[in-house]
Amino acid sequence: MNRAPGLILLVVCLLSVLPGCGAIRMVKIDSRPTGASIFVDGVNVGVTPKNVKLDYSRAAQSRKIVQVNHRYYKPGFQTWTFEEVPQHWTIELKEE
Amino acid sequence: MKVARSLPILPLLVGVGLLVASCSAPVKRSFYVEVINTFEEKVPALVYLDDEPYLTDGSEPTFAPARVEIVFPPSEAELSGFAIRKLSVRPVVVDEEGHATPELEAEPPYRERNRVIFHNDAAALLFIVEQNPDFR
Repeated sequence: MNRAPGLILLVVCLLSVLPGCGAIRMVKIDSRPTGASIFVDGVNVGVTPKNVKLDYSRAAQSRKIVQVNHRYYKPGFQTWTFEEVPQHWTIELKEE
Repeated sequence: MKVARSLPILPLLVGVGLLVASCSAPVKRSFYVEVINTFEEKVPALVYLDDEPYLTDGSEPTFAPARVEIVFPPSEAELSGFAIRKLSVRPVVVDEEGHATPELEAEPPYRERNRVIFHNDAAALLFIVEQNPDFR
């Protein structure tokens, strides 16, 4: 009995059930001036410049909201889908 | 034997069924809205949904920080399959006890911020507001 079609179907099903597994992207976030707080989805993850991990595997989340904040400067705002994440992102902050 | 051979198809059918069901029903999400200034201090602010004040169960305006429930109806116009909503926060002046003063029409101490919200956004919605130079 040929079980290949059933096995392929099973693999397809598993892939459809686990769409986001391992969906991690890294981006180096920097700012001018440096030393700005970085918030990813509302959570403070560090200070610029910093390599930041963006985890898209939870709850089929389609985009990440990244905000950069520095005293006396207008806050920076950026959203990225999994495909849009660059390797390096630098924002020029303007005075408030 | 036939039942055994069809078993691998079951997850696929269940998956398709769930997908169809999820695409035809509105999605209700709970978000925590928080507002801070550039000094990362909490800022009291009125919450608006689609330019209308977001009201509590008691029909009172909602002040951030607050938890809000947002419904996303199905929408064929959106790639995500669900309508997008606009969430705004309008900082207000508060008295010594932290209550908003009645002059809501006055210039706010910080600028209003708007954001488009997707049905699958993170549950924490942080707004960073900048100072309003027109505030006296």
